[in-house]
Amino acid sequence: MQQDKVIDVKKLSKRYGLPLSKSLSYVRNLFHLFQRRTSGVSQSKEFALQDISFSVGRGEFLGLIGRNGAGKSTLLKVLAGVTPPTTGQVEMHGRIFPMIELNAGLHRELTGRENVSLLGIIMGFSRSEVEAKMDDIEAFTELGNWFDQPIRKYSSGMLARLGFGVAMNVQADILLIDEVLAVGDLSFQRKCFDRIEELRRGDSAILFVSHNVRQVERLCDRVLLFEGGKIEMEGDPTDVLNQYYYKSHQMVLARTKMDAGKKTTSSLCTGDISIYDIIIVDDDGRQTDQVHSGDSIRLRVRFQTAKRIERPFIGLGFLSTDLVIIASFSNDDMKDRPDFDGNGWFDCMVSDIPLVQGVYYIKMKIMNKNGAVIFGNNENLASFQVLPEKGQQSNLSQQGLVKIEAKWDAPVYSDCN
Amino acid sequence: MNKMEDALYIHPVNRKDEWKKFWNLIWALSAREIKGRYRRSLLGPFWAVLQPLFYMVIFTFIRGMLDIPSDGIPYVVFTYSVLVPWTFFSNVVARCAPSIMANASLVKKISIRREVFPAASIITAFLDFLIASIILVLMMIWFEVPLSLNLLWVPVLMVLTASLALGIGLGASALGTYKQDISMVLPFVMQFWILATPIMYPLSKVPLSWLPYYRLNPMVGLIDAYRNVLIKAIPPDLTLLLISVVELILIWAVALTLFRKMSRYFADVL
Repeated sequence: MQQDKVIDVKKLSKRYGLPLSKSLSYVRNLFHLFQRRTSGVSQSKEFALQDISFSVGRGEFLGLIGRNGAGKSTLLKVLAGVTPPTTGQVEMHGRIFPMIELNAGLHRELTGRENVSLLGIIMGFSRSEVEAKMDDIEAFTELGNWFDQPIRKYSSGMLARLGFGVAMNVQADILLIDEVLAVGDLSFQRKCFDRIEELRRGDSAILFVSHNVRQVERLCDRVLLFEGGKIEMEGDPTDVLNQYYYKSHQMVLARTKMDAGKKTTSSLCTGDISIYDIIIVDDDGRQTDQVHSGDSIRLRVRFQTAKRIERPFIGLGFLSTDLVIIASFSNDDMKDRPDFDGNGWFDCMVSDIPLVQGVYYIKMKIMNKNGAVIFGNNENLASFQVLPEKGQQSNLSQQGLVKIEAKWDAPVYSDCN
Repeated sequence: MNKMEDALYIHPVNRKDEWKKFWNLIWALSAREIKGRYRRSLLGPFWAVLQPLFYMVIFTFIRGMLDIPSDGIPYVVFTYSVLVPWTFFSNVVARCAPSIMANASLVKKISIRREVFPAASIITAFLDFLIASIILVLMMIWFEVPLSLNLLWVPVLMVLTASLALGIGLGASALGTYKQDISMVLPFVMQFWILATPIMYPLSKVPLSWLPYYRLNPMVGLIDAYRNVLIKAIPPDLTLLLISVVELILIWAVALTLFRKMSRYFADVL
């Protein structure tokens, strides 16, 4: 029977450390009398994974995202069979290739070629299998003459190429990728992605842990969001990533609010002007942090000046969660720019917000009339969430950052008279 | 406290393939060790001879001050002949104990039987043994040591020595992975052990009243047997050897159980 699920996880929980029987833990406690009790002892007994259930089919590309320590790497270790589950059931079918620590087991004094054959054997391939792949691997790494040099002379990027060369050229049914694609230069990364795409077409199941949300969105068919050792959400990348964004947004928002009371002490701030906060006001004059795509919004900035500032330039901008500047606008073309003096607020109206659903940050910069920066923030002053256009359901085909209006004509056929 | 029995990891694999992987990995790890070790050293494989030679010189020096009999055999060959198997034994133990720690990144990455790492130590130590043996053979020729069919015991003794060392190594690596203390105390233990074994002196020199306890050292039977078959051309003392074998089995029973149980969780503590 053809197995459709290559990974099947049911109610998996994992707690680190050796489970001790009663008599053994008694002995252990005796030993601990001699040591000062550390809080680490009790902490290590907490669950790293709790009640995880999911399955992965052939040719599926599953992304795992979540904050540090949410349990993603632990899950990969359990799946790889490196550490046993505490409770629950894990079923794996086929050859597993864990890309967890790519350069594990390499010897500094050996050449690249020798290390490749070592790595291959470590990963469970026979000497002849590795020899057969050697030319492919050598070509893939693009190391040239370096391939026959001891790897202690390698740069870290070259080492990564070696590990990848092996990983990408051996046939595996299940690939576990843990946050390793960040190494290597752009062209090499691109090559790895192409290769991964090939593997996926070849019916390999791929599990991919990454903090690079764009990579996850682009590559994965399905995404699991981890939080505190549990699966918080599972589903379509766009949906799950929005939830992930939203969560990070909540945290950022909380942090922004916490800082709001204090005067901003950015290095770019001369102290001539302080910004208390930036809020978004909707059409009815109420404060909000959720707007709809296409809405008109009003950004309200509360400020205080230390002295009169003549005709300052003010710039505002929207940033994506990964700090890409999407748009910026300023008052520099305003005819009679006002002076700022005292404690007050001003509004800036943005009509027809062209952003697609997601979370965005607001960035601000103020310059005096001579063009010297007197206020600028690197941190986020405020953030807001954009929801799909009113009256529209969450639009799954809407990826990217900007909303574009498109009209579609009916097809025209050349043989039509 | 809920029971842990309901945890299951299922990954159907071909048993034969797993064994093949196991052996492949042992060879690959040993080859890495041997190639890597000598590539940047001047003396290269000669280092393998140095350790037993060093002890031989020290013992000869001590003998110059103390009156140590050597059963009428030239002292140099008397002590070197057993220093060679001893060095093999102590090398295996010394390499086994930290082998899991040393391969931490691999232990955390692949799910192969953890016995691979201690077991790989045997191959490298055996190579050193072979090199050190060349000097021994030259010595035996030089001193015209009588040869006999008793030399056929040597492979048997080697298997026993390797098993004993691996047994102790398995236990030490299992415990040492969890608590560093093991690797701290091991050098002292080995120092003490070499003196508590008839290597520097003949077994006949041990006071009779000590003997019942002294014989409990599993290396006593083995080392005495090596000396008998290699340079005295007489068969080993089977009673002493039997004690060693019984202890060997006991050590394996304890060490392997311990290792099997603890090795599943190595990745958790590294």
